Amino acid sequence: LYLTNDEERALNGEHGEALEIAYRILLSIGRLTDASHLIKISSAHVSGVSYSTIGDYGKEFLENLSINAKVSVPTTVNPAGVDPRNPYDFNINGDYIQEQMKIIEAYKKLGIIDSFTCTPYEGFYLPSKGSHVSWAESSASVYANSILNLRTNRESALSALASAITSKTPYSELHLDELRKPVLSIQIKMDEFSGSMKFGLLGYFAGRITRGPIALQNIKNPNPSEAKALCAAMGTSGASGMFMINENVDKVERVDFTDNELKKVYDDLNDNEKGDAIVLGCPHLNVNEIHEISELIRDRKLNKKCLIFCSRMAYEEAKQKGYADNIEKAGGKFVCNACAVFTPIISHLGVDRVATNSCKAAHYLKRVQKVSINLKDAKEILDESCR
Amino acid sequence: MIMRGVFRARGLVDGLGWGEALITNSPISFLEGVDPEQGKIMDKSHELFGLRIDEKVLVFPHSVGSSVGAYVLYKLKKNGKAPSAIINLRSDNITVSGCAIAKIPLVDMVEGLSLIGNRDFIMVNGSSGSVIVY
Repeated sequence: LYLTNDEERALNGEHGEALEIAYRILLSIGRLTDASHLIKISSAHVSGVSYSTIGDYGKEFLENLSINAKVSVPTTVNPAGVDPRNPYDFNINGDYIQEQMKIIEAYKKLGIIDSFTCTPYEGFYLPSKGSHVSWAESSASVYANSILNLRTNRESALSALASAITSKTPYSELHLDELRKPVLSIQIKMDEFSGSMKFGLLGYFAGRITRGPIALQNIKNPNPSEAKALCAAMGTSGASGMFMINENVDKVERVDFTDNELKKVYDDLNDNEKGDAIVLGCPHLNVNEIHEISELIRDRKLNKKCLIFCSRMAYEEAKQKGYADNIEKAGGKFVCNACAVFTPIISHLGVDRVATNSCKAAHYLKRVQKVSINLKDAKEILDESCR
Repeated sequence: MIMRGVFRARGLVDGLGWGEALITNSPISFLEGVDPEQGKIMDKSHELFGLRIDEKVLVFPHSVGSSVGAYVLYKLKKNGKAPSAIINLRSDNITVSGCAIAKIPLVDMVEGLSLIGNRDFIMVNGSSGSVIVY
């Protein structure tokens, strides 16, 4: 891997320890992915904010790094373990909150944009089409490549952070034209393929079968909500970082997606007929999605706890427009800037069964929170949970 | 000490490390499987369960599990309990980034890996990409 003289000097510690560490990460990832050199990026999105994911070791690393480092491109960050502004909601343990706040402080010292969302593409900094970026958070990297026309690999918390500090990333994999071509195509053989649930299940299926870009054939272009569900589920079940819709492909392996496959994926994720609490907003809801929910439950009353995860930015807009009030009056509770999965909030609900409309949440809630899952469209969940 | 062989490898994380080889064919999850305070494998189902990894050249296929594993390598180093070098069959993002921040020399794709035995004294050069067996 070729480094410029300046990059060499930074790697040797001449520009300080933080840059040395960042270049060590990029050099090593570059060698692993057979990159020829490093290229400039226009933005970064960093994961590893929730104390529930990175723990004490991650926190210590970030605290050390933030003493002398700053990000050098616009950098958004993932949700935290609790709402940083209202951390004491849900009676979360004070020690947890204290450690979570130290992580947030470290990121703020690094100079990040305080987005605290897994959907930075909804309302935060977006570079122009075709730009090279370095985005962690699998759902966002797949969305960046497939919907936004940006170029990123599936970055980790560390590699995206290293890129944020250096404004560079290894020139490899999905940054290269020739590696952005489908290696496999999925023929969707179903009538009426629409809705976030079906797109989510398709994504979960697709992610499992290859690490490379995937052509999805014979479906309509997904709307933003369907695209979010597809990207999140694909990022959850595998390592692929990109799909394309109805692109001409030949000479690649073809796989069918029929009602049978759909049902099988659904049965893998759904293991209960009911939920005793509702979790919506994985990935975070945007203001239109909040509007849809508010229309579903306005003037009704929820008969179980219902958590709605979104960015504070989306919440404030929904508040202004009156959508949030409809939901809160019905008994729904917004949780801003926190992750729906990697959070102590779920265990504080005291339920064993959770209803959600998200394949990604279903996958992780089962494994991380050890709850059973009823996977359903938001409309179905809310209809059966309202008086 | 007599050199028994020099093998080429792909250098991933720079640096020089040496020690006794500790070899496993099972992947390692650093987050669930390694105790960073004691430098021991704590996964009861792992064939290296209970063994110390500090100052060893740890040889394993690749890591699995949470990407937080990278920070466990960092913590091991801070505690003075890290392996002196790591050899993977084919490395991965977690091991690579963890070794990069912890400054643990790392190579993979070693020619002649099967000729290395447990407790052999070996030296890993992550910069040039070579493994010397004594």
